[in-house]
Amino acid sequence: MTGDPLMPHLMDIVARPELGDLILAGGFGVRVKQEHLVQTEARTLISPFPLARATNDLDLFVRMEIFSDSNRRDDTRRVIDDLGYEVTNRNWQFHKPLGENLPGRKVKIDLLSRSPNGGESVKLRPPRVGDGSLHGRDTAEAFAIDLGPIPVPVRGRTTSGVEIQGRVLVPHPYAWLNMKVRAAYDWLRMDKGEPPRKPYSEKHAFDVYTITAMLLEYELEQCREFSLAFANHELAISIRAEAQELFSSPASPALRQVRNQTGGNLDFDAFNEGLRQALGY
Amino acid sequence: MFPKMASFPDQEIAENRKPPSEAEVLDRLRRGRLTLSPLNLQLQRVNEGGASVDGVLEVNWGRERSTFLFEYKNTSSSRVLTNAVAQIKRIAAEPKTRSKVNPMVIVPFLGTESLKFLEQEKVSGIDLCGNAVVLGERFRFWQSGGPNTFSSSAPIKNVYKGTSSLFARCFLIQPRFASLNDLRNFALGKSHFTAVANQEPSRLVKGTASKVVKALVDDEIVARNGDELELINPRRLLDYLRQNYSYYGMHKVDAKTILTQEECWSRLAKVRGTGLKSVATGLGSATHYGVLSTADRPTIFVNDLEKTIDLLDARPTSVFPNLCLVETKSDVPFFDVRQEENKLWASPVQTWLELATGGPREREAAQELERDLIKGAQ
Repeated sequence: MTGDPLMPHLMDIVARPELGDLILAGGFGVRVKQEHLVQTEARTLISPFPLARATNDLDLFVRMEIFSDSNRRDDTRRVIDDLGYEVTNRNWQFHKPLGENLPGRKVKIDLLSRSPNGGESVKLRPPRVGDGSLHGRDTAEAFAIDLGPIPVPVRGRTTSGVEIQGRVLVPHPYAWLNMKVRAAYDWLRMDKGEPPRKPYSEKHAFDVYTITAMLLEYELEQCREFSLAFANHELAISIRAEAQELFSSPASPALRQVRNQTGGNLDFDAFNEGLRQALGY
Repeated sequence: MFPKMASFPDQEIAENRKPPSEAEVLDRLRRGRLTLSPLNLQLQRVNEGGASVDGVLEVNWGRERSTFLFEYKNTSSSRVLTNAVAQIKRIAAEPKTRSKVNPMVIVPFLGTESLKFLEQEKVSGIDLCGNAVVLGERFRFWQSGGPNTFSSSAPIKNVYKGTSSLFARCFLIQPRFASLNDLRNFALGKSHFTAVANQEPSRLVKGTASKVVKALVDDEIVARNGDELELINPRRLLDYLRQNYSYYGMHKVDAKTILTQEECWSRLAKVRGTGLKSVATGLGSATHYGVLSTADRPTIFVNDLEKTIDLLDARPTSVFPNLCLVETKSDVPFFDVRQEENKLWASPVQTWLELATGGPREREAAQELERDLIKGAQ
């Protein structure tokens, strides 16, 4: 990913230990994991998996313990400021120029968070989680985000040109699939005639397919364990039903959308079985 | 033998700007008025009444002789030529004809690219302007360079598609031109990077520029003030280009090479100007323009897949590919390319078109480029 203008900004974050617990989701998270899978020629559920693309956003999940520890919270915010980001939406969205040779382009940071559980003393004022110097956009469907995030080795140059190696955390496929199925279901509602929530949200159906296709054997095994742990979780139950509705038929609108975005290539049987096992339905 | 200069085979036809009908061409063949020196063309048989081919032609060169099943089309467009080639190949391959005859098409005009296409398809072709590729059993004849004397006065059906769209694209790079000549020279200048050395892109002629401009004026995209031309509605132009853009007809191959990306581009750069064209696709260029993060492997338009695969020591595979080649016979992707060391990136307009007609993330990324294009065109 040496020529990718977003990569130096990720390496800036990797270089700062204060930001080491942030979890990179979104399209760029998928891209980073894909590059690692390609380089290591890993055996994935579906091969080849569709190639992901990402706009210039870094979607970063802030773990609950950062919000609940004011020192860590302020350190996180200070580093974001140090890196030259400006606030675009108070304390949870930031941006800065993408690069000197790309005038007008911006790299954006969106901070996100799962909803705090009853016992956690973190403020929730939807759509915000947290208070003080750092907030995250409340993402209820990210209920499993803290479970086993996957460390992905990365290597590259920071924006100041220093070459570093490190690792970035991406969500565990179980957590990621729950988030993406819910987002894809929002799109389906729009497809059924309800007012649109966010433009381009049909991308999430493609992401569900891609993340499932990229599953490694051990990850699928862990997914099964996680799905058992969340067997009675209210939101997990809803999302399982949504996944069934969205993806159980090869002729469903969601899979038609995936076909459109993969140029027609789709291994329905492996995908359907993989997603079913991963989410436990 | 490869004579360099064309002769005009049929003065009667060459002076007539309208392409002749099938009956007229058959009549001229019958009367020996269609010539292709030093070859001798003799009409052997005419198939009457809507037969699937027009007839049988014997071609003699000295003592060598070959027989051809031929089909005449009075239009020279690449679509018509492609269909005619498919038709004549199919018929020539039928068991009852295969051992006796070779396939041939006759059209009003065959440019160098069309001749190459025919040669590649192993189909002979003769035009009415002195150009030909004749693939006999024991001889091979090539003659090119004859100018097209059949320039059509009919309006171009769609100026937002194919090679004629390049003139429309020029207005998104530079919104004002002093004259039609200025526009044409600009278009030629933007085509030179990947063109074959000393060969002018054959289709960027003034006649086409004039028809495109007329359509753009009619669609209220360009205003004409005397000789001067000015883009007045860039958003509408982008819309029309997008509606007419298609990946259709391109052949995509995933491949694996032992070369690094830099080595791939370096090898491609070394053969630039020799006829083997290459440029990153629009999707492959999106990262260069800072609008989309895409897979870390070159995705490249080429005009000859087989030669490029050889050049890059690659082999087609869907297992862990590290290279994607997209073959196209169109000049369009090679227009207004941008150089960065050995790499060639697709133009901003080509990149925008591929993004704007792609998936949701691509369309989202296209918005940023669209803003740039509109701003630059004002």
